[in-house]
Formats: sequence, structure tokens, C-alpha cells
Amino acid sequence: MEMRSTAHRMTSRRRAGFAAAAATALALVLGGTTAPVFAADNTIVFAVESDFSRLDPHASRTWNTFKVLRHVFETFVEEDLTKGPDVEPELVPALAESWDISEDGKSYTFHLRKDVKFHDGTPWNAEAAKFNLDRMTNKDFEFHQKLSPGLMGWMWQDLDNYEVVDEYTFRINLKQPNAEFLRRLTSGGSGAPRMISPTAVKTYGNDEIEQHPVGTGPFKFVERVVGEKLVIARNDDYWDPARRPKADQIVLRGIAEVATRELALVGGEVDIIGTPSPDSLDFLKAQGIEIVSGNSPMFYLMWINMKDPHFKDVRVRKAMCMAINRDDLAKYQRKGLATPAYGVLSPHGPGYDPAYKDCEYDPEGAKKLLAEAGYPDGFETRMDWTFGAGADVNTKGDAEWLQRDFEKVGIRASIEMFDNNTFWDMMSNGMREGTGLTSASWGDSTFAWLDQVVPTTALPPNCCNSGYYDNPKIDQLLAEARGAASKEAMDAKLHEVRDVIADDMAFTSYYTASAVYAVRPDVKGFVLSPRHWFDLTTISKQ
Amino acid sequence: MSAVSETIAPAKPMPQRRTNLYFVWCGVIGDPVARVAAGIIFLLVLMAILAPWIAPFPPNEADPALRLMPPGTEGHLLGLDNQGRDILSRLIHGSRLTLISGILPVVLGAAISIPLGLIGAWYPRLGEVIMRVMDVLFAFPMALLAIMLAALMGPGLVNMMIALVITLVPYNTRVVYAAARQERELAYVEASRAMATSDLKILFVEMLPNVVAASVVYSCTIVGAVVITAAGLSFLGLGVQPPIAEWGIMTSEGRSFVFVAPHIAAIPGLAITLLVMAFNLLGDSLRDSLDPKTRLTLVKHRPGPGGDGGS
Amino acid sequence: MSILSFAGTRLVYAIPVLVGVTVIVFMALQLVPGDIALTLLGRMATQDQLVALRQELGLDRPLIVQYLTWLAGLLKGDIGNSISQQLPVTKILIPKIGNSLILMAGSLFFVLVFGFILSVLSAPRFRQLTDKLVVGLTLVLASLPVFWLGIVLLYFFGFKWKLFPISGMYNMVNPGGLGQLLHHMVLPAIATAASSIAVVTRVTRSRMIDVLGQPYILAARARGLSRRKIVLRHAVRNTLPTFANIGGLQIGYLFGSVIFTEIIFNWPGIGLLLFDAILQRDVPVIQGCVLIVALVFVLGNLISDVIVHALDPKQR
Repeated sequence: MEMRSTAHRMTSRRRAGFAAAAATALALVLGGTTAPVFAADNTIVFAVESDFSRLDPHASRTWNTFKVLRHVFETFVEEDLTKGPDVEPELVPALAESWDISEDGKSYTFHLRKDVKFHDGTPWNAEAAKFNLDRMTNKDFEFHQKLSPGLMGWMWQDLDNYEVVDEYTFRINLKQPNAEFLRRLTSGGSGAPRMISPTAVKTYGNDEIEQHPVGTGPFKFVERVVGEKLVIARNDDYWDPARRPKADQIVLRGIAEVATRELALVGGEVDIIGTPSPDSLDFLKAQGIEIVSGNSPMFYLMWINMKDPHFKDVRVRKAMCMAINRDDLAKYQRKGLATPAYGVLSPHGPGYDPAYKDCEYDPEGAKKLLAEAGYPDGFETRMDWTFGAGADVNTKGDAEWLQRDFEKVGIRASIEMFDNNTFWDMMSNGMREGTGLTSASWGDSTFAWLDQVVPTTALPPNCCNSGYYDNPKIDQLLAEARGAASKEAMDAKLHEVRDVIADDMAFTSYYTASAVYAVRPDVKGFVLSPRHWFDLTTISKQ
Repeated sequence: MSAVSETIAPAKPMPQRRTNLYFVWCGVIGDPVARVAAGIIFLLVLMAILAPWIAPFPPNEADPALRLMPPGTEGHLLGLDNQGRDILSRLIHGSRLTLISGILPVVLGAAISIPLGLIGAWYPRLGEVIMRVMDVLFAFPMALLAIMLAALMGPGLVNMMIALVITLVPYNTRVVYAAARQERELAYVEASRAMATSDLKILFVEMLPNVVAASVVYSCTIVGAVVITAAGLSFLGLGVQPPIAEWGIMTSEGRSFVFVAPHIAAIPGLAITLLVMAFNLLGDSLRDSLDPKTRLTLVKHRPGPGGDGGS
Repeated sequence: MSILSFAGTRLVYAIPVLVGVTVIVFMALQLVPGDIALTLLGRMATQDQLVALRQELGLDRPLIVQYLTWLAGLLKGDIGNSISQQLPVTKILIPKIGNSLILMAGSLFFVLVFGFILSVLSAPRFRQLTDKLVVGLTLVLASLPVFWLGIVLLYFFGFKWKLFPISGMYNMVNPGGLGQLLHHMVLPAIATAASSIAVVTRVTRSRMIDVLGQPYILAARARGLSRRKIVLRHAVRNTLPTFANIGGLQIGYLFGSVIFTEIIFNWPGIGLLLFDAILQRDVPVIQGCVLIVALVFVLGNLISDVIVHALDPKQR
């Protein structure tokens, strides 16, 4: 008895010791691998609102992904986003030193910058440009990115052909003039027309390349842990010394939950966050956090299912528009960090008129219209909604708000929430049967986005005329707007687009949100732009 | 997910047969703690039934100007949520789905488990197959299996219920199976068999009432865990959808406002805790009443050499 | 039976269970409404990809053939690609397992330490005030929804009193070593452990009460041994197998709770991955997460059984 108990005690003690040692070793090994040591003093940790899409610019999606991609990859021209949110960005040379536009506005000749190298040492030249154009648009090309045509119609829809003129001259010919061609080159989100190293594509292959993004930009890709972080570091050999990043590294994290994002900021785990909740701003300021806000071209657009048995009646669609109390929504739900929006032209985009309204708030009138349409007691429908991604916050709250507004006139809607990727996949297939309304943030500084939303070319299975608005007149008006000779002529055409859509009430909008970022006080040089993205080269901790 | 799912005491053979349910009843009546717990549950059920009449506001009515106001705001005892809805009213209305999503899956699970366990105990070969299938289901942590099923079927109240029922069946079946196997060896069953009573009659007329007690007691001990799991599924966005009031989703929504208005998450979470505590107390008391020695018997939730489940 | 042959037997018994697990995870795919190939590839899939995958899965062939094809892939570590990230699921999953296991180890530590201390405090004082307080505490712990407890801990200890960090595993601005990791782990580990502490305490306490009522304990008391000595020398040793057994059983339940605490504390483990995958309807990732957790659960139980066997004098 005595002996056995001693032996027993010993074994158990030995075991416990072993277990503790094993646990420590495990923690050391794993802790060691997950916490790389790098210079902390000038590293910025930036939390955005969603994890990133593919890092292949020709196959990537979302504005948040483009916020990173535009610093790793470049194209012929760029917008100068360092002048703040109230200045219309100037077009500046990038991988092209200069360019000529033909008399008829259809031919762009780019004179390429010499002595630019991709991060892997591959030289930038007209062949590299052709490789990239092939990859985006030529279905027979060996390294064609299949997702590209579906994502980037807004960029290449007017493309006729392109040619290598000489080693440092590249020409793109369009089928019709496009007044926004250069501006659109600088854009991204649904694909990005940016240049990727041909050597890297050939080395890693068409699919693997997104794990080894190699461009020419001011930042180089360092590593990515999916769902955790994406690290980019200063490119010390960047061709423009004036734009060499001030920070050593930027760690980008996608944190979808707004409360978690705010927590991480307050706790000092991250330095900047995108889109805190409007309700938290006073609280964050009290913690010594700086709130940076400014203009944004983003507004919330409503798609209406034209195939839906209720909504196919234009009176029902108009009644829906009249049921929304946009002023109160902006004032209470968004705490004034929003302004009511009407119609399909986004603020800070071409043709925008702040005084325009496609309908007035009038619940009584809405009820009458519904009764006229045969729904004196209203009807039931469904709203498919998304939690959103970049710059979206509390969209579920918006949906519940709209749901109550609709209920007051008799439109009883249920809500189904989807994450951003699923939502857009679904939108490509068109709105589901039984879904009457859906909404997401869009709008842009060019009207490239309208080309993706309202014309018949965007009808399902293409994205994103998801409510089946089939009106060829719109295609024609948009083509005319792109080909317009002057800004005034373009605006006039866009106003026609807006008015035709308002008459049909095929789309409406409800508010424009300001861009809001919360920044810890030791971070310097963060500048907002009037775009969905910004320039990270100026940011630092010194 | 909680203590109660761990410690299951299958009904022990007792001297006075056919009085298990009587013992259960006496146990609750005689135990002051159980009386309080039963009282709380009774009040919550009453609240759920009378919700439209006792709630000061409809659950989805909002006063946007009062968004996020704390408890004690005039006319709103427990404050308002991020939509400007009265939290007290939503709590009262939300008790309905919270109770249903805790109790209904347990009842349905028992309805499937009882025949399954009985038949398994009666036909040993079939029983072996059934219990091996259950062993496989035990290889998933309870919350995880429910999450996987609900996630794959898509969000919604009905799918969440189905997921919970499937998750619960193995637990309850094991309890019934163990109880029925003990019962099978008893004299009265032998006697019935000798009199050539049909199998079905022995199973569902003679054995059932005694086996049911074990299942009922076990079900009571697990309701609390199921309430938490159901609320957890709603918390993950897999259960009820907005703007329906339910305590899990209310807690989840409040999380986004935890700094500026902590009461939004605090109050429904507290309500869940209270409800679960009441169920757990009642369940403990019921179990003790069946097991006079208050001995907790460990049930191994997994297969083993010669392990036949229960005790 | 020697430890090794016992472990071997248990391993053999675990194999059919593991096979059953793969069957269930595979069959669960049939629950998803709509086209399976589309579900697995996402709606951005090209027609070529869809055709290729249908061919690969053999969707027109009998289920059993489909299952075996899938199982063969699984054994090679291939359970498909993540829809949202377009990366192999295993590649995404593997770094997360380690992170979750670290948090689980921390939680298990709290479960065992608190479970043990509370039992030793309460059982010898059966029905006294200390015992009643412990029983009350376990009741509260067992009734707290983990997601709510996480929020409450985070609010008070992380935000109000600033005692612990509130997000992630380490500080990304200034990453440190083990100390920083442990500091980050305290709150999520406690939130995860709470209900399991209750379970372990209740079971261990009642076993110890039983042991303390045994004749040899009464005899020892009659010989004049102090209560402290009786508890430490006899009661603890004879309670140990029960303690180890119930402690081992917690592994699975901890996993159920870890899903929630990882979301609340932004801990980059399987739970957070699973949550994102649910929001993104990323079915292959959901399957992968569930499979890996079930695997760890089964193996964890096996290991705890072996330890129990080793600790239990009666079984040797």
C-alpha cells in the first residue's frame, strides 16, 4: 500500500511536469511563428472593414483590396491623392511619362517611363504592357485571367485594339471616344487595370500569382496570413523618390466587426481603423483618438426587382421611394454623418446635383399609390441585404430602419443578411425570386460604376443590373455620355440617364455617408481623398 | 455546453416500481430551491404567453430620437437599443422564441430518442448499430454539430431547430437506452414475455412509462444548455433573423455598441443567464429526486472497449 | 493491461468513429440547397471550372463512390478550395489550428486548476458555507452564455480597468514573446473555461464527497489524522481518476466555447475562421473546420482515457 502510493505519486508528478513542459514548448513554438519580430517604431497597423480579396489585380474585387493593390501595382497614369478630401485629384504621370490623345479621342499613345523595374527586377516596357493587356482582355492568351472580362467591362468595353509601337511606346485604340478613359485607368475595385510582372506570372502561374503579387509600386508585398493580416513594406528602389513611403511597413488587417475594430484601436493593437460606428465617435474622441472624416463618392443605392409580381408595377416602386424618410435616417441612424441621397448620380461624381430629388417623402401619398396599384392592404416581400465591406457600418440597422418605414405604408418586408462576397455573387445571378428590394453602397468619382449597374449589358448573368432593368435607351445614353466632347455635354447626358431611370423608378438611393477614419495620435500624415481609396505613402509615426 | 449535459444519472431500479414520476413530483415540491426555479420558469412562460398585453410597446416600434438611451430613460425602464426600440418590450416579446428554441428541440429530440432507445435496448444487434451511430455523433462537440448543420442548411428559425434536434438525439437516446436495458432485465418484463405479450406491447405499454422518467429528467437538465446553444446560433447569425426579438440576437446586436451603450448587450444576456439557471436548478433537483443518494454518475460520451453507454 | 496495449485498443476503437465522422461531414454537404459544384466553387466560378469539378466529384455517380473519392482526397490533405480566398482549405486551416490549441490549452489550464481548487475547498466542508458558495458559483458559471461572459469580461477587464488586452493574440505594432501571448490569452481563456470549470468542480466534488465517506477514511479520522492530511493524502488521490476523466471530456466542450470567444476577442483561430466561413457561405472551409475539430476531439478523448487509465490504481 505504502509503496504503491509513493510510486503512484511519483508518476503523476512526472506526468504533470511533462505536460507543463510540453504546453510551454508548444506555446513557444507557435507563439514564435506567429509573432515575427520587425521594427516596430515605424510600422503602421491599419484595420479596414473586411478581409481582402485576391491580390491579383486583374481578378480582385472590393475597394478595400484596391486600397492595398494601388500601392503595389501601378498603371500608365495615377491620381494625386495627397491633397485632401476637398480637392479634385489631378491626373499625374506614372508608368507613362507622357501621353498623346488623337484628334478623334479614340487613340491613346503612352510614352513609357524608362528604368522602371518590377519588384522582381523585370524591366517595365511596352512588351510588359502588352502582356498585361493580353492577360486582361485576350481570351486566347496563354496567361489570360478568365475572371477579368467579367470584372472589368467598365474599363475595356470600348477597347478596339492595342499595339507595341517600340520598346517604350504603347498605343491603345478605342472603338469610340471615352472622356473618362484615363480616370478609369486609375480606378479599381471590380478588377484593377494595373501592371503585374510578366516574369512573376510565368513563374508562379496564373492562379498562384495572387499569392506572390509583384508590381512596380511604392510598396512591396511581404506576406499575407488569410483572415489575419497582409503586410506591405517600403520599396526602397521606387522610381519616384518624392513618393517613397514614410513608413517602413504597413500591416493591414480586415476586421469585419465594428466593435472589435474600435476595441483594437482603443487597446492600441492597431493604429488606424476605417469606419468606426457613427455612435462611437464621441467615445473615441474621449479616448484621445483623432477622427478624420471627409467627402466620399459612396452612396447607398436601392435595386428593385422588376420581375417581382408587386414591384413590376411602377406605382409600387414610386410608393416605395416615397416611403423612405431619408432626412430622419441621416439625422438619427447616421448621427448626421450622412446626407439624404436621391436618384442614381452619386455625390462627388459627374453630373451630381445636390438639389435633385427623384421623389419626396410622403407616406400618405405612398399609401394612395399602393391602393391605386391594387394593394390597399399592402403586401409582403423580402429585402436581401449585405453587411457590406469598405466603409459600410451598421447596414443591418439601416435595413431595419427602412423595414419600419416600408411597414408604415403597408410594405411588409423580411430581411435576409449576407456577407459581402456572397452578396455580390448572388447579385451577379440577379435578384432572387421573392426578393423585392436589395441595396449596397456604390457610387464613384467616374460613372464607370453606372456602366456596371444600369445598362442592359449588365443584366444577369453579368453583374450588376440585378433587378432586371431592361432599357436599351440607357445603353445608348451612357455610350453618348462617354463619348461626349465636353464635361457639360457629359453631365447633360448623365442627367438624361438619371431622369429616365427616375421615371421608371428602376433604382433609387437613400443616403450618402462621409468617409470616416479613426487614427491614434502618434500617427502622422494620414490624408483622406475624395475617392474610395487613399495614398498610404505619406503616413508614418515620425 | 454546460454542467448539466455532463452529469446524467439514468434511472436506477428502485424498490417501488412505477412510481418514478411520483418521486420526481415529490422531489420538486419538497425542494425549496426547485420551487423557486419552477416559479421563475412559470413566470417567464406566463410572460411569453401574455407578451402582447404586458409589453409597454410593440417589439419593433422605434423612437429614433432616443436611440441607445440607458435604462431609466422616461417611459423605458430598461432603456432603448440601437434602433430606438424599447428593450423591456423586446425582452418580453423575445422570451417567446427564446423559450421555444430551448424547449421545442428538447421535446422533439426526446420524441425521436425514446422509441430509438427502447427498440435499441430490446433488439441488441439493432441496438448495437444505433449506439455506434450515436457514438459517431458524439465525436462532434454539441455546439459545433449544431453550427455545422445550421450553417449548411442556411440561416433561419426552422433550420436552427432541425439542427438542434439532430444534435440532441444522441444524448437522449443514450439515456433511454441505458434505462431501458436495465428495465429489460426486471422481473415484470420477464413475466410479460413468459405470457407471450407482444414485443411492441411490452416496449410501449409496459416499459415506456418507466423509461420516460429518465428521459424527462434528462431533458430537464439539458434545456438550459440548449437555450444557450440556440441563443449562440442566433448570436452567430444562424438563427432568427432581424428584426425579430430573441435574446441571443439581441445580445449579438448589442455587441456593436458595447462601449457607448453596454446595457443593450448586458440585459438580454443577463436574462438568458437567469432562464438557464432556473432550468439547471430544476433539472438538478429532478435528477436528485430520482437518485436518493445524490450520487452523480458519470456518463462517458464516447465509445470504449465494452463501454455500453450509460453508467 | 499495459498502457500501450490499452492505448492501442482505444485507437482501434476510435477508427470506426473517425470514419463515421468523415461520413457525416461528407453527407452534410447534401443538406446545402442547390448545386453542389456551385456551392463548392462559389458563384464566380467559370463554366469550365464547374464542369471540371463535377467530373472530379463524379456527381452523377452513386453517393458511395462520391464519398470514397472525397475520402481519398481527404487522406491526401485535399478537401477543396476556399471559395472566398481561392486557396486550398488545408493551407488556410493549418495555421489556425495551432492558435486555437494554444487558447484551448490556456482554457484547460484554468479548468483544471480552478476545478481542482474548488473541489478540494468544498468537498471536505460538505453542506457548510464554503461548500454552498462553491455550489452556487458552479451553478452561475454553468448558466452563463459564453458569448455574453466574453463581452462582460472584455468590457470590465479589458476596457474599463484596462488590465488585459482585448483583441488578437499579440500586439501587431509591437509583437512580443510568450509573455505577451499569455497576457492576451487570459480573458478569452477564462471566458472559454467558465462552464467547464463548473462541470469539473461538480463532478470532482461529488466524487470526493463519496470518497470521504468511505470506511477507510473514517478509520483514518479515528486514528486522529488531521483533515488536511486526510484530504491531501487519501481523498485527492482517489478522486484523481474521476478528475482526469471529466477534465479530459472538457476538450470538446471547450472547442464549442472557443468558437464564440475567438469571435469576441478576435483570436485568429478555427472559431474565427469558421465564423467568417459561415458569413461567406464558404462550405469547404466550414467542412474543414468541423472535421479538424472532431478529429482533435476524438484524439483528445483518447489521450485523456489513456491518462485516466494510467492514474487509476484499480485498472492496473
